[in-house]
Amino acid sequence: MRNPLGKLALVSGAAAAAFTLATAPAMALVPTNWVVGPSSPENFTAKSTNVVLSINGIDMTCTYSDAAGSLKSATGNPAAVGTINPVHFGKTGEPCTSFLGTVNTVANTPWTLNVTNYTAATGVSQGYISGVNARVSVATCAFTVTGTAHGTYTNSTGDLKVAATPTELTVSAPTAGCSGVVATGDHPSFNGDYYAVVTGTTTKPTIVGS
Amino acid sequence: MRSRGAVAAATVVLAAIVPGADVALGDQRTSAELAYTCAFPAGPHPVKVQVAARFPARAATGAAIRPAEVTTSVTLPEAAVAELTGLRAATTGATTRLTTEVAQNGAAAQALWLGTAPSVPLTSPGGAVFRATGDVPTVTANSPGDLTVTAAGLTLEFRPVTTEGGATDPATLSVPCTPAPGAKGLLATVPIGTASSSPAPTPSTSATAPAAGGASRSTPESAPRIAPPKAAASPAATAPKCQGDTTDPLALAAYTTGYSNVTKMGNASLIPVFCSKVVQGPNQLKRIEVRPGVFELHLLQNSMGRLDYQGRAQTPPGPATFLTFGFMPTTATMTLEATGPLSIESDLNNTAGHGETYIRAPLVLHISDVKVNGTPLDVGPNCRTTGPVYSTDPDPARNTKDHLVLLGELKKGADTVWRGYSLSRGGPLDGSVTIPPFTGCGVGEDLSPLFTASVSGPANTVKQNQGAPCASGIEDDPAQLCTADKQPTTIPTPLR
Repeated sequence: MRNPLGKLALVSGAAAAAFTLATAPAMALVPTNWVVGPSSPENFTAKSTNVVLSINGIDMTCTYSDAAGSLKSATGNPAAVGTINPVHFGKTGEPCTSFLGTVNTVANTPWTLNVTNYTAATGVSQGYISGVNARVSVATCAFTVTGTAHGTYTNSTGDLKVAATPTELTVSAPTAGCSGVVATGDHPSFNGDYYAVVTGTTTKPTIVGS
Repeated sequence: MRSRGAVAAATVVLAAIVPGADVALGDQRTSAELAYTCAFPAGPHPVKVQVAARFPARAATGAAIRPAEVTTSVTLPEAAVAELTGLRAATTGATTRLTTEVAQNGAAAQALWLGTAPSVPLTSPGGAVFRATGDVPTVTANSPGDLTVTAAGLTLEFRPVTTEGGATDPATLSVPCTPAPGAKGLLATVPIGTASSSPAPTPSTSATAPAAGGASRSTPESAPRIAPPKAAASPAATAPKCQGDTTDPLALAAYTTGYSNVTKMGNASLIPVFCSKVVQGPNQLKRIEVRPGVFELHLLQNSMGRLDYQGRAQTPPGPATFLTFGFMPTTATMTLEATGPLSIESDLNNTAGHGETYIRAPLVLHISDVKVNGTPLDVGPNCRTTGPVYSTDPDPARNTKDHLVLLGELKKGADTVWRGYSLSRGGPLDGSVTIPPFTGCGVGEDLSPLFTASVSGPANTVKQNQGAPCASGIEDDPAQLCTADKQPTTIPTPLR
């Protein structure tokens, strides 16, 4: 009462504090400086044992997939910190399979690795792969998948976890043999864990945003 | 298999039946040179057509007459070739559709003889020659009397390709042809006798010497050959030509091989690597409710196919070994001839992780080149089962005892990998068949009962292995399942 202004200030301070609390994490999630470790640039290789491309409820499963590329420190948001080139789905003797038949995929690379968010406490970056372009064939059915695929990268494990959001990948140019199964405009899902190491080592590359 | 030059003088325009010098015993080989007028887009052109075939010298009532080794050679004059090159065609393949008229005792019927000719270049002056081969329907006469087969209308279908390898515009050209006025296209006359009196070949020296240069495809085998099937099975399989259709985006070409474990032979016979050409049927994705609110996703597909060995719907001839009279080691050449298309029906269950594909095929077992204990035994050209080998069809409505049924099973493992058979990936196919009695075996004496006793019977297991098919009608081939000329690269090995 003695200082009505002071109380007012307190209230407004509380309001300001509440506002600040609400936006603080969001502020922290806009890093623009991205540092690739242990050195930059560096080449990496990555392998996966569980890639699944799924369209209209049909899973196309790869128990083997590999990728290679390079990583480089960058600035901005989103920031392109890496290039993936090449990617292989399946290998001789261990092809990708589905109930439609053996699935053969030709990835048209390079694809670009972009980062947008970073959580220092866990060492996890969020981001997406852009420029995804692959031609998928199962016997007489062949189609193209293009778009982006979101995912995360965990520094401690080297796990590039791909989990495409529901509509960011799109089917185009299906052959007549796809009729009834896969059509233009369908949105496949794309999931898999690629474990990355610096080429020729067991060292896991790191990406740190600030 | 062997081509004969035209014996008929080229100047003879009307049909001339020329019994060849190399007629197999009990056969007549005919070659007729015919004049047609073909209506090309820019106008009519004269076209020379030569039809050659092998017919039985005579036949019995009720027995199917199977014109064999049918070739239709079409010679286009330069002016007709110019019409094709006018479309920017550099090469073209052709299909011949010859209507034949079959007549006996005043009754007549028509049969369509289809032939396919490989691509020929259209560059050389002086015309182009297409040599079409293919299977033709059998004819069965029910009463005695001379049966005549006469060539009538002909349609030529061209599939021209430009220098760049693309299709022309239009992509195909269908040209109707009519026999030149007054031309009589008699192809063969086959005397029909009653079933009991019919097999009466003229020469009596049957079993020893096939006619000089004859149709027998005997390899030089002087020593008696009591080949154990293992020896026959071990050499690396040679695959016949199997060029897939490049014009149909649903076309598949695949090799298959395997064993037929003929119970009475006490051993397994190898069915040599054979070629199947399949047109994939439409995909039907169906959510089927198995319990209230619980759905399973199925892919249903019905496809059709045919065997192809040098244009004929059959497997390549392969060696077979069995015992006649219960103890005499006997070798023979075995061929499975399709009397109709293959049907391939699959129900693949994505949710439950399994799939079943049933392949149904009407295949007649044909035996030739028989040697009993090393001594040739002339069984004639028509020694075969009375009908197709058959299985008990799992579908009661289709248990008609006129086709075999092979089952291919697909399963999804706990590791998410799909294994086993589906049309689009290949894999093992299993079945059990009954071999019907034999008919038409023997020259002069009826040897059919001998083969019936030695080979025919139930519960013969069949195990086939289909290789990954070449999708010949699409550009995509990331796994290189096709050769450059669209033949399958995967040649399967037989499974036990």
